[in-house]
Amino acid sequence: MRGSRSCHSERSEESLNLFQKCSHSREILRRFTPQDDKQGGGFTLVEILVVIAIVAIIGTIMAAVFINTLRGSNKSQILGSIKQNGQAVLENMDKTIRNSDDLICPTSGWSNTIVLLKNGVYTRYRIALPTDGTYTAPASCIGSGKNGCIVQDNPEKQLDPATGQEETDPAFIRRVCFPSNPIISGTNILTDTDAQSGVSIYSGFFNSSNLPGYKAAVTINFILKPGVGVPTIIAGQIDPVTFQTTVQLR
Amino acid sequence: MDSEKGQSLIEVIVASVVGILVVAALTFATIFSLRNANLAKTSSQATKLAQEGIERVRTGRDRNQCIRALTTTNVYSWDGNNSSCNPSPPEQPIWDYPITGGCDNPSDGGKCYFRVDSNGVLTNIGYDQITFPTVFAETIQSGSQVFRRVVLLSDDSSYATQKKVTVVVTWTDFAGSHESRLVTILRKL
Repeated sequence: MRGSRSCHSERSEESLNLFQKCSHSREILRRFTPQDDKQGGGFTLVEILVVIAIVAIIGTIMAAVFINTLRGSNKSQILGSIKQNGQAVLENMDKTIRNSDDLICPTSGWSNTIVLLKNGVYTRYRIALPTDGTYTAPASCIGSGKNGCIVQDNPEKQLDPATGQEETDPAFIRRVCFPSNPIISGTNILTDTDAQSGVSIYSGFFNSSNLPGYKAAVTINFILKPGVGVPTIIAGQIDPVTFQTTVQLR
Repeated sequence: MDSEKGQSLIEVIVASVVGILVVAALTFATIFSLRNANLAKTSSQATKLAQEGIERVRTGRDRNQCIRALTTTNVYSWDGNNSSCNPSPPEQPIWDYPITGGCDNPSDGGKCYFRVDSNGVLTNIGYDQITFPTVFAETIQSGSQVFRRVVLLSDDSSYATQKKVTVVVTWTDFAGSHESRLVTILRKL
């Protein structure tokens, strides 16, 4: 009690003496602090275990955050790719249909195939699902582990091998409008067929509305999903996106 | 003497704050880019739906489809000669009927608002269906996203030769409501 009281004294002539007294009392206090009551150096097992536990917990949280971050950026990339593919296909069809002279098919009901005529050139689009028949679309689209695709080609009239004659209009239309009529090789695939970075076709159809005496109006509708190679944990978080539009021939 | 061993509390706090800031910045950047990608996708869909709306109205004009429930008038189709729209003529073509006063004016705004079906038939849905949507406004579902599409038909002074067609597609997400608005002018055929 007395020592500590003199510690707080402010008289200058005793300052040196007081300092020694005070450091002495600090020395006594320090004896009760945990570091100095052991032999010194090294950590105890408990200390190390606690540290390891803390580091593990923080590490786990950080890793989870980091993985989620990576997954998020992946997801936004996939969304961008779906948007880009869908828009490109719609723009392409939109322009072609609007400028066509005539709609060959579908004339009634919906179909996966549309054929248009412009200046004597036929243009055909087809929405091919990965589950469709083998020749419905190029081999890179069809089958398990494939995306399906939306393709475009320009069918031409064939010569009948028996008669050597060019096939008639009705025969030609029946043939090229058939939903599984083979697409011409070297055709134009409009969607990205890469299993990882591309988009897969979930469903789709063309429909036309006709009124006698007027030009046809065509409805395009298709649904895109992330590529089939995208892990389910990411793909499952992305809703299928519907692209739809109606275009009237001018 | 002891202060030379290990880190002080301040140092530890500063270090962990810096670490947390870095992680938080990374997370926010990702969330932001994800929202942006989503918004870009949705608004491109909405714009396409608005284009489709305009295309349908144009189809309706070209095919002389019905214009229904444009109240207190005898307007039933674009050129007034579609007997399937109104069993009891006489009809008045839309070109004889000015939609004036502005769509923002409650007293005549109700004239402007329409929904359009796939054949281009227009049906009036009354005033203010955008801010107070009812069952009459057309809704389009795409995945979990719901779009609402309304067609506005309005006039300036030259109502007898052209109509202004505005298609508004609205949708709501976490950040509130958005809209895509396209305008075109259709002339009398």
